[in-house]
Amino acid sequence: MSLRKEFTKGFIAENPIFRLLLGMCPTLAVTTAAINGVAMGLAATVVLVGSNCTISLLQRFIPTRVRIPAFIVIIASFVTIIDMLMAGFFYELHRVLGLFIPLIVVNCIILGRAEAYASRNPLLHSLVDGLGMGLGFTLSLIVLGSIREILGRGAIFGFPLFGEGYPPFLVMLLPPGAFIVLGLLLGLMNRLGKR
Amino acid sequence: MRESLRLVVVLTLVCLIAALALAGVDRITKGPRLEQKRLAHLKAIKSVLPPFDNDPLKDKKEIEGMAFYLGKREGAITGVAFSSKGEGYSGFITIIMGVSPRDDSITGIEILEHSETPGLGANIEKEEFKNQFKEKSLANSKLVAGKLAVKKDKGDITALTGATISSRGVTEAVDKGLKVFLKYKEQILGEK
Repeated sequence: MSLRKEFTKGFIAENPIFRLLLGMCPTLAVTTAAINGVAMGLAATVVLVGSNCTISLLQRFIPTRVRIPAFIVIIASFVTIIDMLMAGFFYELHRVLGLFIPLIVVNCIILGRAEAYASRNPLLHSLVDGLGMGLGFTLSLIVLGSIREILGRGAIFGFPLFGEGYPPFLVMLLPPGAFIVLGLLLGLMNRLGKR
Repeated sequence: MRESLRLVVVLTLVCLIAALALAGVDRITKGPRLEQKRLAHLKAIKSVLPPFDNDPLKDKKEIEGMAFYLGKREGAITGVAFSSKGEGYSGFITIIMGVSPRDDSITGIEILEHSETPGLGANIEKEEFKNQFKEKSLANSKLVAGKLAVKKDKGDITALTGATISSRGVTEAVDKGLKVFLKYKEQILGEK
């Protein structure tokens, strides 16, 4: 596959959320506002790129039988590093995402890409794969977060859209809203995919 | 045998390198992390105390595991900040509150942590709600069974619409805080 294709497959064709249905926990939990989607997505992207590159470099060195524990150690280390960097330099963001950063460790997208892609492809391809998948994930989170924020708060990225009189559609900010929006988007994507 | 030895060696190496990397990053970010925490703490204290000209993080007293931060102006204590907890709709609500030693009334409260429902209980963060606690004290409020209470429970705190339980949680935290302050007042204000 060409590098360009490796990069773009994460957006539509193999979009981690809408096509592979991976990483549902952070997807549903953090998307109460568009900005959370941006932050969560970018944090996961950095981890994904880092772990993909490392695992791709080590693919000959790590025996198949212990690959999963090795991958998990590598991924968990990247997550902890991101967590510490955010706590030190982006405190406000860290406060909002707090609990969800450690959860990136168990985000199946990352282990999934390590296992399915990075452990059997060259470095450059793995880097591009991680970047594409990560940005595809980020974009999907932003879409979900925007829809929920617009309906639930009448705002986008914190800017009010409809003025004071807008009665917020609260359920959109609550867990059921996450499932409803995700379900409708999945349906839409399937329909578009069929053509 | 050789094969399993290889597994052990590789896994150990991976973990060792990971540990080294983590230790390095921990060292580099420790300063900024502590500084950020300190700033956030100071900001919270600043928002609940009357203007001060000292560093309350240094002028603090620890009594029975609780920290009391003293805000001073020209050497006189104008307010004491400390944190308190109440039970909300989903988990505890942690607040920081400032109390004036002059008449034991509240100078301000700020919500530090909560996991209330967005759009309903989370509105306890709104200024209109928090501001109503200003200048309240146990002496000037309508107490129900010796406690501060929301209007629904015959007290005089205005609860948020649709979020009585969250409002009660904050009220409980404030009430407990005021009592803790009174209990330790002498120790807090006294010289070391």
